[in-house]
Amino acid sequence: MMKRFPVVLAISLLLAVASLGSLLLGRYPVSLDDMMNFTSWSFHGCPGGKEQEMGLLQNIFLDIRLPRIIGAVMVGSALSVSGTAFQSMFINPLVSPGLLGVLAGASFGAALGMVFFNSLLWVQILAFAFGCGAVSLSMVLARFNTGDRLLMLILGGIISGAFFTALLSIVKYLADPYNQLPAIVFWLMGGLSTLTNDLLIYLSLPILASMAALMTLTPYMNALSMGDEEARSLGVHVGLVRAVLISCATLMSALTVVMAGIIGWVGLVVPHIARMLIGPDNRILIPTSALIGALYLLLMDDLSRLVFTVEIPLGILTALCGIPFFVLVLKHARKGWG
Amino acid sequence: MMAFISVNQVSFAYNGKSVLDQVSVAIPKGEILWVLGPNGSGKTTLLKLILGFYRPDAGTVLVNGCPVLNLPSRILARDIAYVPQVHHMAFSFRMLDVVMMGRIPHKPFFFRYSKEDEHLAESAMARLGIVHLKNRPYTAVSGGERQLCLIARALTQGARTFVMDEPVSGLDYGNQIRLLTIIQSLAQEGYTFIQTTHFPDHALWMDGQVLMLKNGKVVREGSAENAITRTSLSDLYHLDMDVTQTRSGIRVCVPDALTSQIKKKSRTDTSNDQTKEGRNRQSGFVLIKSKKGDKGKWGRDMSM
Repeated sequence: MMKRFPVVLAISLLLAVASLGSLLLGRYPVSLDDMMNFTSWSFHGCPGGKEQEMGLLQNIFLDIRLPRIIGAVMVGSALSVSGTAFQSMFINPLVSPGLLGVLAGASFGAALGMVFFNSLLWVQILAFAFGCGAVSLSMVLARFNTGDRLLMLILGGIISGAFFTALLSIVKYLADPYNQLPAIVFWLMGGLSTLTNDLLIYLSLPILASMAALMTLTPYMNALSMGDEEARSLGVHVGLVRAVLISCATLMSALTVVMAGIIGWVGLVVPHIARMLIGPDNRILIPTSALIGALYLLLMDDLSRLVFTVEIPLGILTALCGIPFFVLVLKHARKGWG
Repeated sequence: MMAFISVNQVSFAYNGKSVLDQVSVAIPKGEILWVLGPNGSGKTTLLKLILGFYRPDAGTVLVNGCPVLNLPSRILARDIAYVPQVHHMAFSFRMLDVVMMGRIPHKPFFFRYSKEDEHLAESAMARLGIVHLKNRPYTAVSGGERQLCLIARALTQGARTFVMDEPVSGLDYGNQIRLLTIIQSLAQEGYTFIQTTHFPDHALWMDGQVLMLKNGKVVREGSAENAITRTSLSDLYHLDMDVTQTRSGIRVCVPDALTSQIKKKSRTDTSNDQTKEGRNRQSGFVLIKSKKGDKGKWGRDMSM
């Protein structure tokens, strides 16, 4: 565990630099000078009559690159924060945001939208609805059984996840194998290329609101990692706090699916990296996770845009880069949760 | 005087198997209650019913005259603190962060810990002599220090009643005695203790009330002095036991099964050896008594 403040400051700076850098990176070459000119142009107007050039830059910066950067920051931080919250709440460092079935449900919803409605809006609506529905199902299943609440929730999540994975297979089987099936498969690999400014604005607000709600509950997350009974003896209303935590985490994860499809591994790996750097205290761990997650997904998205002429699906990259990271982190895992 | 905590005719079954059967006990403020009983006799379940973790199938648990299940956890936590058995923690929280959780029942729903909370947590740790460990991870300190950390959290909570599940289990002999010293001095300040234990000796040495549970039923109840006898212990553990008094006046429990060999041996030995053995045994107990007096390493900080 390092000193907290310098670490958080360093990551924030890195994120700022990476965001600015990502504006300059891309298929169309843009120099730092261009960006300076564009900035002064947008504030003061430009005397040199470069309207056309500036219009092009505006298109590249504000309509193409900025939404992706903000999208990557949103998706990365949302997945990391919900992963961190789940790990603390379930007292298990191997838990990821998909634990209660949100990703399986959302995948099914999206596939359903592609096959039966063939519109992006319906894909997004159904992905969100079934993501939340799958988590509700696992919570209802947990209610049916008495016994260890946490264990029942996890089992409920496994059942609900398996159920929606099976449903997804049915939809894939029914889909037209020439157009719809590849579309489903490609969409499930994740990516930010379909993100528009409008969508970004609508989706960012609830994500930010959920994140803010989770941040206010961080002292309770610490107490919940002591176990239900201990948390209760400390005066925590366990049922209420857990319901709010699960709702916020689910909302955020489902919205990331709407924005970018299924992005795996971020919600599992980033909390570990954050915990290794600044320890398990959620009061500082949650914001740090958000920053690292944003940085991580931003870099991955840059890779996906730049490495090949064809864009690599983001979900593939996060998994490929996440796995070696995870192996490295596990070597040092004792420091964080030994 | 009405008891602070009263358990009235409480029965509890887990998965259809009866764990507690019509158990009643009244605990006034300032009392030390020792719950004795073999494994599976329902000791821990009784503690958890008192803490409101479980809903009894029959009977009621009253705290200050109010059913414990009707009390919001935040209110209950100001009166009763739970000190669980020393456990493994999945995440390596700093000791101070663990102790500071004791401030939760005194904060509004949305809160941040203040400097004052930190100060209160630190002074509780200082009281138990573990303030130098405040920045160490909970997972990296010894079992004794973890138990003290959990007690410091209970002190920070401001509750005057501590419910402790086998507080000395897993501690080495020295730490067991040091922990008992701490419990004793807190009890003298008026703290109430409800604790399960597998060591009837501890109840004999420290006095207080004893509740003996067997198969979910109360088999004996009373002051440690009266309730812990040769017959009650032999019944409770289904084991031939002896309770003898040393020359210094302390009573101790001795299992017959192990000591019969020694007795047999000493009977064949000369009477000279027998007195020598007796002297050795006694000097051992005198040593323990003097430890109680000077309070040891942790005890010193207690007097602050």
